[in-house]
Amino acid sequence: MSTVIVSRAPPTNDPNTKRASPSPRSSTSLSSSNKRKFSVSNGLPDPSRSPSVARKTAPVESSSAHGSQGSPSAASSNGTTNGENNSVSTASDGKYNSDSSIMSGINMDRGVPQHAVGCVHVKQLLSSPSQELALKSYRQAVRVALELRDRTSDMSAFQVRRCRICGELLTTTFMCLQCPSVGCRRSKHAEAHSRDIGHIFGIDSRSGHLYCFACKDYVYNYTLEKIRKEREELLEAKKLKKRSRKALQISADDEMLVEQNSKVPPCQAGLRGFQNMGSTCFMSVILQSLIHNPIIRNDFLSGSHDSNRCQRENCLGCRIDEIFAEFFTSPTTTGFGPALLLTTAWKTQRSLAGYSEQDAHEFLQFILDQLHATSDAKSSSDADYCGCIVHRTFCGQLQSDIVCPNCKSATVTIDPLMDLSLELRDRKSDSSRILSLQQCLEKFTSPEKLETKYMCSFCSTRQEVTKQLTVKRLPLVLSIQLKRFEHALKSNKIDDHVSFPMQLDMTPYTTNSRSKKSYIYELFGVVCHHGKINTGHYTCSMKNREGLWFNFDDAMVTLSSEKQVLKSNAYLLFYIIKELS
Amino acid sequence: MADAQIRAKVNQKLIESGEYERLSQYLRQKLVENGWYDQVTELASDTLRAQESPNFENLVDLVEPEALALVPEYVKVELLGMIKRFLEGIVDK
Repeated sequence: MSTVIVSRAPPTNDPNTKRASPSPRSSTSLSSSNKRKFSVSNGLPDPSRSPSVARKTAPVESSSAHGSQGSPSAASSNGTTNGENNSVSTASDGKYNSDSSIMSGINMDRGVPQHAVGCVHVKQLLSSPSQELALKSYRQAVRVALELRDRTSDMSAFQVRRCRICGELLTTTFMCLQCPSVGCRRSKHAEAHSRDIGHIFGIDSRSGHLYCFACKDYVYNYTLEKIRKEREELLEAKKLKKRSRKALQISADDEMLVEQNSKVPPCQAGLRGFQNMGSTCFMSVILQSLIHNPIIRNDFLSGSHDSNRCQRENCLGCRIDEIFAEFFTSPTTTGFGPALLLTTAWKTQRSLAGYSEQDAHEFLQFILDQLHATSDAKSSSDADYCGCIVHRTFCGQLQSDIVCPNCKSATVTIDPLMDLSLELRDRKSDSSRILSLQQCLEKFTSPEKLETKYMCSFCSTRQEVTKQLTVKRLPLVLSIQLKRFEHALKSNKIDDHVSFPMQLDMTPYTTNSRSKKSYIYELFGVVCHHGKINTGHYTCSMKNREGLWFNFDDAMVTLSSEKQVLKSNAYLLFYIIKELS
Repeated sequence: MADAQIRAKVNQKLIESGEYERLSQYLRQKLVENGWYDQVTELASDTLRAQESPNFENLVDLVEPEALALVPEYVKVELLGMIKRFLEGIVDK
């Protein structure tokens, strides 16, 4: 897969609009049926009247049956996002329930843009006198489809959606927009109906999406998608027993006020590199990890640290807030020079001054510490229950059990946990083999016999006690450091590849691993170190809101892929809990 | 005709007993677990990216055969076994 430099130019000439390529077809006229009447003009639109219809541009939304995403166009080769679904119920398609995944930020499925007509046929339909009727029928059909979708043990739900020609229940069917006919996809019965009767619009009986038999494609029209989305959200709200969306709708005047006074973020907001100001790549990668951390990002963008109001001197919180504001509102694509942040950091910790390369992990700890210190929300008591965004995001608990082999008594200690530092080798068995991430975690949480003898306070004997570490409370964001730098007699860097998964199940490493709950984390950031121990370079890969991976090498930002990321030699890994339940 | 009747009855039992739901969930889980879902997603993304004028039918024609072939043997065997056991359970009722 070619890497493409991400350009920040706004989309030109409606690249998001799906258009049909003209091709001869038998009939696009809709005959009147006994229930509903439509009239749409025959044939194709006159090319001379709408010159932009000629070529079908690559739709940015994926035209899959399982969902549409409105992703702003990056480079032209970025056709689709990964196939994340927009349905949420467990009975629906795919593991990636993007609406409930925290990676999706506020709302992943932003729907299609306002100018999306779908295809010429839909456009014609909706600008014809039959549009009201069409919308009504669509609304009804969508309601049926979505309300029945999750009733997978209900025979009647299947009966409603069965193919009327062959009676098949367990297959994809299309409900005709213009008559009560329902046809299956598999045996082409829906297609036959569209050909014989001339009803070219079908509604997917599970997702509610519109299919155009003339274009032989799912088509996404703004008005129709809005209807579909509304119904989906309504059902979702019912399921989660939240207040229905209606209560949150604002008046047209208010909406106008908001629109006139807000600034639309440029496409690919938040996607920008940092200029290297003299071995500062260790800072850049950590800053990127914060920018792409959904919880930190949301907190700063919601204005929790207002740099205009903050009175602190040399405040790193303000510097980070300024960076977020800059990255998410400025249309500039060139690398950001973090001069102000650097100066503030140097003034706070002298050791950071100078031009030598520092350790990214140390910088991460430093900046998190500073963000905590400059937070208005921090509690003065212990870290475990501090309300600052840093602790709320990263702080978990580590339990240490020390067991005496003689009297079997256990001493339990619980400490706050801001990140996990993992050894890459199993010194006891094969010390040359590099473990996988899961194996490292396993080793970290397995009982270990301590070499030095301890005096057991219960049985008063000196014993070789067993110590075991387990994660008592998992943080929302798990940052993991792979200990690649050994500082034994000779400083050495382990450069081998350590395999890690996109999705990590932390359940086996928790204190109560027998609990039925499953703690699945999703990878969103990888920091890599290239080169030798003292002279090296940091780059990172981060996942953005749409699920796309990008590579950051100082000021250069390129489109990456899951495959490439998994191949990289990670030094720091950032995982976020998949679902907040 | 009797065939269609039997089929209808089986489907009814399958759905109403909740077995269809269980089988679907199980299959979905298995396909995700061993990476099939990710593989096919990638395949579909790549195919779509390579298409000059992307179209759903084309995509399905290109991706479906390979996706079916990518399903691991053991998953097929396991599912067939589960279906078979279910059928054995409802025959003669």
